[in-house]
Amino acid sequence: MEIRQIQQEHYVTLSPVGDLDAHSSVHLDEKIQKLVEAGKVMIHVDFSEVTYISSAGLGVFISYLDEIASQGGQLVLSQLSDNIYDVFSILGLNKLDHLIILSPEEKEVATYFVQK
Amino acid sequence: MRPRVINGLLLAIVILLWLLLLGFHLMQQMVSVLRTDQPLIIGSLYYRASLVAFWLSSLMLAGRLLGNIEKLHISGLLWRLFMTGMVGVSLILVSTFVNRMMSNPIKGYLSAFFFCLALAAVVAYFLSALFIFRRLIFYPRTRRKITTWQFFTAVLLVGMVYPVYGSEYWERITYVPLVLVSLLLCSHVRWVSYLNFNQKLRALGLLSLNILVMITYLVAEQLLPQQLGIRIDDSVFEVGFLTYVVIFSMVYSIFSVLVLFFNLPTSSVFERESLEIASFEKINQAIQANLDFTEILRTLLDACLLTANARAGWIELTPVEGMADPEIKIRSRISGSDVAELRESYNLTQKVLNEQKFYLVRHMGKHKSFRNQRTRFRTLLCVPVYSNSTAYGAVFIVSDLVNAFEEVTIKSVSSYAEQAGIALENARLIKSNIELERYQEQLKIAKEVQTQLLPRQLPGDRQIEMFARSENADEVGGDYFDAIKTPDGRYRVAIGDVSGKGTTAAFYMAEVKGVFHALAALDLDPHTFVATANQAMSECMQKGAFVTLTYLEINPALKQVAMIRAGHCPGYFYCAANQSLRSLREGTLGLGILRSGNYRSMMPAPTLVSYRPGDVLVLFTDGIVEARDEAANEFGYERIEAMIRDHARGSAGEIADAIVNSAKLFTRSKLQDDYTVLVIRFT
Repeated sequence: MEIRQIQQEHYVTLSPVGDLDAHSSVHLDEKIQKLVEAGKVMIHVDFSEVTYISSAGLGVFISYLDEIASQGGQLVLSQLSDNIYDVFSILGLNKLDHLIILSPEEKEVATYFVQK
Repeated sequence: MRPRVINGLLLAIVILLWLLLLGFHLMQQMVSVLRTDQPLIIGSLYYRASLVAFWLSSLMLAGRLLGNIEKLHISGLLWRLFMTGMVGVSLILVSTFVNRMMSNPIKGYLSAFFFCLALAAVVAYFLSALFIFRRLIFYPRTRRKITTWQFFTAVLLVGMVYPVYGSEYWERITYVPLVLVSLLLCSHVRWVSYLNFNQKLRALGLLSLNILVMITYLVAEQLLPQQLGIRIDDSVFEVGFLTYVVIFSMVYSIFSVLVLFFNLPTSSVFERESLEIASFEKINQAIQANLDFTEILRTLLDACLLTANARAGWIELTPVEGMADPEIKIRSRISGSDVAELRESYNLTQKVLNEQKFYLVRHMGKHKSFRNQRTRFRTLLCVPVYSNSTAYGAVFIVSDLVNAFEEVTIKSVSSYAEQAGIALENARLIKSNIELERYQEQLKIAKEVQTQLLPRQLPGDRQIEMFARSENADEVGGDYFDAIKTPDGRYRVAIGDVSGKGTTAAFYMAEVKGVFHALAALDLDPHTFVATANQAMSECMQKGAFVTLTYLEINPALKQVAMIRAGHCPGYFYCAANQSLRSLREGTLGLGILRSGNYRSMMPAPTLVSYRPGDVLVLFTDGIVEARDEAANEFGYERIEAMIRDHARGSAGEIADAIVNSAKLFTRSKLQDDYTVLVIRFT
């Protein structure tokens, strides 16, 4: 799957395109792993072009939560479609401190990183 | 009678008749000593009749002994024939020698004895020749040849009567058909073409020797009576059966010798052809039976080297999935380092595989890639080995001569490579099939085991009716549901879904069951129950894996349900009194997501639901919610709600069936994900 990566001022934006299923989420996993290993724990994932997320896709975010938290990082997901937002919220992921899930209207991401 | 007895009888008759003939000769000798002008006994009708009987019985005996030679071993047969002839020839030589040494009184009797011995030897020799040549002519046997031979036998038999009723008229009548049929039989020399060069040479030599024996006999026939001083009527031996056999044997031998001689130069071509056919057959056999890649490739290389008369060769393989070892090294008469050097100059394997066509370097010294190589080879042929679906590699053969491989050779090598490609493909498919079958067998077992992990029947009583329907997308899956009744009449119920599906999910599902049963026995409050379950699952699951779970404790005494939804898709509570449907959305994180200690503190208080008879609690996994139709629309919560409303008055089983069936109808096929529907109906 195609994942664009843009280095912002205080964080890195990842923009995956397409379905985040068992196969494609492996690529996202590799990207995030590289960032976390390099100590870049301020990560923004742009969901505007993600159409579907499977449990394997969710697993990618879940597996880095502890590590990002321990390094004082932040994971911000933005522009989720209603369906995908539901998937995250049903699982309870919207209740976590280090994982911020923004509703489609909220496009201003930078503020969540600047605070830290 | 048994064949052996018949043969023995025939032999006895032959010997008796021979003794009779000997008797005639001795009598003749006796008479001629007394009176020289006595008419010849040897020419008498009795003598002639005995002679014919001797021939006939000898013919029958020879036919029985040599008529059914099953396996044709040409040089062996001809050698035996020659040895038989040599016995006769030496007998004749000895007899003439002894005859000269002897003094008169015994001499006559001894001569008669020797003459009869020579006669027996000649008969034995030519009758053997007759049947051995018959075997050669019948190679292979055809109806027409048999008919011709029968005609020939008839002529021989007619010739046999000649000495008895002999006349020149007979002679003329029988000679013409005899010569014609002999010539016809002489044209049957097919056996020659099946011999290789050496065998032909041997046959040629042996036949020539036999011709010499025959000539010796012919000369002896003329000289012997004179030498031995035996007076015989010429008409006895000159024409008739024995002469016919001699003529036929001579003609056939000479004809065969000529055919052999002229076939000698071409035999190498036939040998090559038959070698190629043999190689082809070998590869074919490899295709049918062989599963060993190395052996197939080895056969291929050997066949190519043999056919092309190549100096050396090797096979290069591309890595192919399912092959035992992609690094199989197969080479013949060339060192690995030489192969590597040539390979370095020009990597042909990929090129021929891409083009699916052979590549020939006629003169490596002039080829741009090999020009600078210090190789002893001059010609190189590279042929791809591939099947419809897979490129396996290429076979290389080299020769130290320039332009050593002709078109025919290349064609043969290409067809071997093609056959080998099919063989490899077959072997690969069979191998992977066997493996697949083994996996399927294992999965079947896993499915059985997993089915036993889920409760066959859920507990219940007059006030609580529980029913669940569950199915996996693959053989095994990650959905879990269970319910137990505590001794004090409460129910602990769980429905869960492990992330992912298939085998990994199935293992974690078994883990969830273990955790559920362990904790359910401990009488924990729902809060502690879920928090402990989270901790237990966090410890055993790999990073990124999680379980969603809805846990409830039903207290029939209070008519109350306490529920914690841990990331699981929210279920519904249907209230019969006001026909309302409530989505139970309150909840916390799925198990295994937050592995540090904060999980419990983030948990909200359990959702409490009071029920009355007629109320229904419906729980399910996301396999139902996310069931998709062809246009990728989700079945979704609204349709589930509608099904609950429509069937709320039915039994728990009816409600569960209604939801599952409507989801299946919606997708128009089997569901893509594991699904479970658990319905609790209060009565």
